[in-house]
Amino acid sequence: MPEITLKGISKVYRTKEIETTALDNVNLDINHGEFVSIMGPSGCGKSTLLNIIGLLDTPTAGTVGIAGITAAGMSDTRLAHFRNEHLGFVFQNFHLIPSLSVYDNVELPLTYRSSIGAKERRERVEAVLERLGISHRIKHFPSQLSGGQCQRVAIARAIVGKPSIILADEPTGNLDSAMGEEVMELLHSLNRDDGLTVVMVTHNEAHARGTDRTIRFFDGRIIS
Amino acid sequence: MKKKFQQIFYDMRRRPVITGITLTGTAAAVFLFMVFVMMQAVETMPFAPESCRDRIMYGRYIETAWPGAERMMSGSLNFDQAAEIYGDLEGVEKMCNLDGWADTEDAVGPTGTISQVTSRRVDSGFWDIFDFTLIAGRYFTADEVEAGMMVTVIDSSSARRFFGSAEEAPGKMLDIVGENYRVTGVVEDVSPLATQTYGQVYLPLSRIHNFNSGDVALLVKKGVTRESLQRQVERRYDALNARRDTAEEGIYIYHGQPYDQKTVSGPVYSNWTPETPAVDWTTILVCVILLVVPAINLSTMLGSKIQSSIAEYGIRRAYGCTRSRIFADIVAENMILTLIGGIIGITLAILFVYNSGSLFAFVGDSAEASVRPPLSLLLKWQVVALALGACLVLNLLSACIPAWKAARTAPVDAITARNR
Ligand SMILES: Nc1ncnc2c1ncn2[C@@H]1O[C@H](COP(=O)(O)OP(=O)(O)OP(=O)(O)O)[C@@H](O)[C@H]1O
Ligand SMILES: [Mg+2]
Repeated sequence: MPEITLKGISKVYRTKEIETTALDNVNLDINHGEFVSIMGPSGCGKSTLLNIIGLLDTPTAGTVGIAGITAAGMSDTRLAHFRNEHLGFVFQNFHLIPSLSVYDNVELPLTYRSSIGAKERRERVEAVLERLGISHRIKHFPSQLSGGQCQRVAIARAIVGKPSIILADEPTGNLDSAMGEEVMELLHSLNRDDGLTVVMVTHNEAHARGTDRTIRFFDGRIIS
Repeated sequence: MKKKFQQIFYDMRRRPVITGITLTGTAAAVFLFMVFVMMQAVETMPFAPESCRDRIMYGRYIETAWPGAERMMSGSLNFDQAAEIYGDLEGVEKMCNLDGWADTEDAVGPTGTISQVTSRRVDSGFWDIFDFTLIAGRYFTADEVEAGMMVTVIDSSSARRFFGSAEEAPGKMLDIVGENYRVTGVVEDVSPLATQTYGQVYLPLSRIHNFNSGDVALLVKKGVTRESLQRQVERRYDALNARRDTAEEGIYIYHGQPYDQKTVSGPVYSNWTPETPAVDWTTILVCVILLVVPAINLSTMLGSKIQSSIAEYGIRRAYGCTRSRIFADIVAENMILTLIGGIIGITLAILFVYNSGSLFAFVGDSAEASVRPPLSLLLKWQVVALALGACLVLNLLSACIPAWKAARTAPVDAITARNR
């Protein structure tokens, strides 16, 4: 059974004057442990799709199935708990919380999980930072880090809660090519060594080629 | 918790202007609110020596009218009337006679110093009901008062003025309007805001020297209502009237005695039933305005502050934070800021009120141009509690709408919102 199932997903933005169809009847299955890249021209709906998979946004039509649940009709609290346990997000512009230190940024997902005590939180945060090689920046604030370091912290935050799926929207978009390679290497290692399902939006052909499968979008539809 | 504070201080440093304006606005709001409240409260809030204000009631005045005739008469109680109407009421712990009016008189000390003093006539029970602080000597006793002895208790300023120090005063003689009084004790100065007890020299109130008893003060037991005393007092009036030769002596007209502190802080006339001030809507309205107007401004400011970092709330939502927690976090964070502002505001309010006595020139009949309220009154826990209450209201009024908006924003909209 696939880990992510999208059936007939459409997303239409309506404003007074215009109606934008960001997604048009998208059907897609992604298996557990797959590394999938999504490509397509700007504005074709890639981010919209990723946000719908991430349960951050709701489709206008269609059903989203993730890790055995159907998102439709779930309460805000249940959605929040589900995201917290199953999903990790990585964004193009990192989206670290500027007022929190590296440590606190990474700890964030765990603070929303009542089942984990302070001691275990500390151990897990430290282990993840160690793994990503940013332990020495633990007390720094995001403004004191380079872009590559920020993205590592963001990835640390994404995996500290041991999710099964990583959703990455142009994770290398704001990084130079060397940093970009490092981040790609990290994502691959998470996929390969930890068995995480990774769905990544990218504009980089080379990065896409390294993944298990590339889905191409045009105007809200999958073209291949 | 420590983290929360770190984060708040980080935010404060990152946005010094908004933080500054928010703190100033909060402080100003709490300041104005508290000054207003203090001006209201000083008339009814208990403070030494009127620490039991909520349990003290006053029997004041009596009116006599002759039915069918135009004739009527009203004024102070005499000693018999005071005893017959107010003596041994059920629920009353202690009673004393005191003169509701203080007089200003000339006093001459041993060295010939002539000075004006505010004098008040009281019996010995006065010292039991009101909590004066004795700093030298002793109070005059019931025996001394009944025997008509010329004794006096003076305040420490007068003691210094006439005798050099409080310790020197007991046993010395003080000439008050030509009569020689022996000082038995010295008490700490009393604020003129203590309208029922203020005085600089206290003289014995006795049948020997005085025709009228003036007023009576009743210290009632806890939980005894004014209504229950009113019922008893009215029955006493009826009983007295039943025994009177109405055509000759007239009848007593009951005017709602005894009066509580709230009543005596307003106008009380001898031939009039004072209105018991019910809920004072004007005061409440002013209080509400004093909080709502700044709250609207603070709310706008908080709203723009939140919007400028709305992505942060989207990220939190993405990582499992619920709507209600976003709401609660914002309200709690804002509460801390409001408290800081509030503490500044209340401190300034206390300093201001303490140092600008002319604010209270309206209280009582004190001729003093400037009346410094006792610090003990301003530092009461009720005052602090009220200030905290004001902060809480201010916080809830100002934070709820922005917090609700932030919590309602869909995570995707929050995350993708351009930093405005
Ligand atoms: N909140 C919104 N309101 C209206 N239209 C929107 C909104 N969000 C996205 N769109 C529209 O939906 C379409 C798809 O947007 P989306 O962000 O998914 O594109 P994308 O493929 O991620 O583009 P890019 O590569 O530039 O990131 C675009 O035409 C965009 O203008
Ligand atoms: Mg995009």
